[in-house]
Amino acid sequence: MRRSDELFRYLEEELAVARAKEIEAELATSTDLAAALEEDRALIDSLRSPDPSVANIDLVAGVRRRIEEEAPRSVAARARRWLVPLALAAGLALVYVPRADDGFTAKGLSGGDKWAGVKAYVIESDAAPRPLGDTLARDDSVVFTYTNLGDDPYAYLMIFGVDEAGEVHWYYPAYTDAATDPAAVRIRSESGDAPLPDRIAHDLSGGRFVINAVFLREPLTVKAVEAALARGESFEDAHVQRIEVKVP
Amino acid sequence: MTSDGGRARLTVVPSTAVPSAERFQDKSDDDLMLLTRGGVEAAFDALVRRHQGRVLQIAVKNLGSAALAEDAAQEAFVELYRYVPRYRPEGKLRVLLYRIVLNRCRMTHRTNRRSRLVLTEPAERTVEPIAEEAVLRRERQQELQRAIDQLTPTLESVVTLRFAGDLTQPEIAEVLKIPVGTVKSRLFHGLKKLREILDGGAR
Repeated sequence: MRRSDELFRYLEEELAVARAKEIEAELATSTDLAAALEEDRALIDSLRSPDPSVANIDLVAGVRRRIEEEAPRSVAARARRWLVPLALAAGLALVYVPRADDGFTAKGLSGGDKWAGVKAYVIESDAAPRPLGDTLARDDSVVFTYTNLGDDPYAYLMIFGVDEAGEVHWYYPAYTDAATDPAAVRIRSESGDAPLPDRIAHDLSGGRFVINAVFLREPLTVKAVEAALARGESFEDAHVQRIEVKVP
Repeated sequence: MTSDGGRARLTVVPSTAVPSAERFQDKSDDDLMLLTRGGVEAAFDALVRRHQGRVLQIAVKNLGSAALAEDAAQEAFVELYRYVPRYRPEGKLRVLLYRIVLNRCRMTHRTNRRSRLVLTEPAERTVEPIAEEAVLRRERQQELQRAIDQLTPTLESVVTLRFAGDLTQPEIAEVLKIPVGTVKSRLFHGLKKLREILDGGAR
């Protein structure tokens, strides 16, 4: 005797334990019920079994073609510059072990719970990003994350490196045209490692290289900072973090 | 790097650290969507490759035609790609994808209702050897497909998501935006209905 949908519920393990045991006891004595159970099991197996008519279809090329036809690079091209490091940095979170000297640094004298800092990661050729160690190869690429905590978090960030010859290498803001004077990048209050958008390629000369991360209240410009450095001035109401590495 | 006035300039470069196809294997769906957003187009190909089997099975069970299923599945992945810029990595790509697939199937139903029965004839792609067992298996498959076609769309969706898509009941609830209890009742009602159709309404 078929029991509505109860055998299906039994096969899907949806019945209460007591009721399932009653059915199992009945299955041992009722060939009709056992046959009905096998029919229902066969139906579920059929539903699960792959339809061979689509087994050999590979959609990859067709999907790729349709994407390129419909929106030629619109999504990826817009986002490429900004989000590749984000995706890569996101994958780093589980493996990152902070260096002793590049951890978060107290940004002020009041309140030990106020912290701001950056972490740097390097990408060698096509390898996965790894935390920056004591050395930086001349052609390594670099990505950064930052933390910006506290009751009064900073609003802007600049990151630049200074090599042994005194040359300044700008990471943030991007500075590739001497005719411009870009300002510090805006940052948010972040309790975790917030990835900065760009992966940045180097061609460094050898020797000592110091990366400076400057957390600011105001959006200083590149030229203002370079002028301050040339005069040996410090930054007011700013937190400066230094990461020193060697370039072999 | 460029140089200006003796000062070194940094250069932002497109990613050359694109993981190779093998390295996508251990990436989560969320990682692949984020990599796609970052311009790593091969990551989306890996997503398609990862999910196309289930998507095609859901589509073919839903539409009863390999050709229609292929079109619907392809369109579903193209639509998924449109979500890339605003995708939130919350571990629910399957839910989003299968929701898109079902919507695509519904749209296909609307435009192909009349041709549907014709297209449930043996698919040209089937390359099984002509043997008695294979013929019987194909006939059973077609009989089952005709039974599925007779289910209401609400029952059909739950049944195909559960067995062709291999989704759990909570996942189905998320895809269809209905309570899990409703999923259960539709699932078992759908199975019972299928049994009745296959038995010729005898039960």
